[in-house]
Amino acid sequence: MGMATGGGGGLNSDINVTPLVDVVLVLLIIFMVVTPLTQRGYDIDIPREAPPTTVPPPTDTKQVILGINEQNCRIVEPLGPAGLPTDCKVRLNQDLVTLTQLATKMGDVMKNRKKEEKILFLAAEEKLNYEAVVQIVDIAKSGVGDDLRIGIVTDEKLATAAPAAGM
Amino acid sequence: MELSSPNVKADINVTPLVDVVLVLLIIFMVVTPMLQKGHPVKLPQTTNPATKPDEKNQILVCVTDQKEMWIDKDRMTEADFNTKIKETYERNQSSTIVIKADSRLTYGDVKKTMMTIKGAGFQSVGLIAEKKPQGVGAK
Repeated sequence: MGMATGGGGGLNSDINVTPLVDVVLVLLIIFMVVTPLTQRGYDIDIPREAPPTTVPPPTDTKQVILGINEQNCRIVEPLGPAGLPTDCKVRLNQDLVTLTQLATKMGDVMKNRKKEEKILFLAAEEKLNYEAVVQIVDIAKSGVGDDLRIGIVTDEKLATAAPAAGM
Repeated sequence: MELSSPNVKADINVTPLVDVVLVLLIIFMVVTPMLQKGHPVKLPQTTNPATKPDEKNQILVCVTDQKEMWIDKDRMTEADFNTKIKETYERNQSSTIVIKADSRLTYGDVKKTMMTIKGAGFQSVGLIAEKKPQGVGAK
């Protein structure tokens, strides 16, 4: 055996793929690890004390209020592994809606709206469990998509009573 | 090269080095995001939370199940919390606020925090949630 001279007895003409495979595997692992761990959540608009110049219209007939109260949905205690109770109902303006209908109903209501009009006002009783409320918001949002903005209502009474006039 | 041993290679074999470095890289990549940012809390789990990219001037507010307030890494009393949030708003109005609230809290506790943040001048907050592991929970 000697050094390859001309005739090339010992020449290896394969491409060495090992480094390529190394790099690709590492990239794969990086993406697998990073993707599920990105921060996730919901944006909430908080009502501002009305600035002196812009007074909001007193009755906006288009506003949609999602009322969550204990009477229709027993979610005061922290949720167990079962998640939200199946008989839970929420109020969408005047109507009582079950959670299974909520997504479609929200989709219907928001379907023909411009992006800036897709706002859902959240009125939930203060004693309710936070995780349950967030999950209900999640269901409502799933019917509309990421365009939906969420605002909160300061007045707790709206969680139980339907708004007087409007829709 | 010596004539008696023409097959000796003078290259340094870097393959084991590369192996080790890559493994270290992977270990760090895996461990770093597991260190939850801010004070650890049990986040609410939902089916489909939108991703909220971590912005540079983001302020992280944590509320634990004992209703302790934390801003980034510091524990705050309620009064301190108010002043700190106000200060932050005045210094940089474009900063975003996200709340990591424990899932065992009531909605009222979280709402109170949001109202404090509103009182400082912010108009929007983010509520951080976790994607529910699949196959668990009722619809």
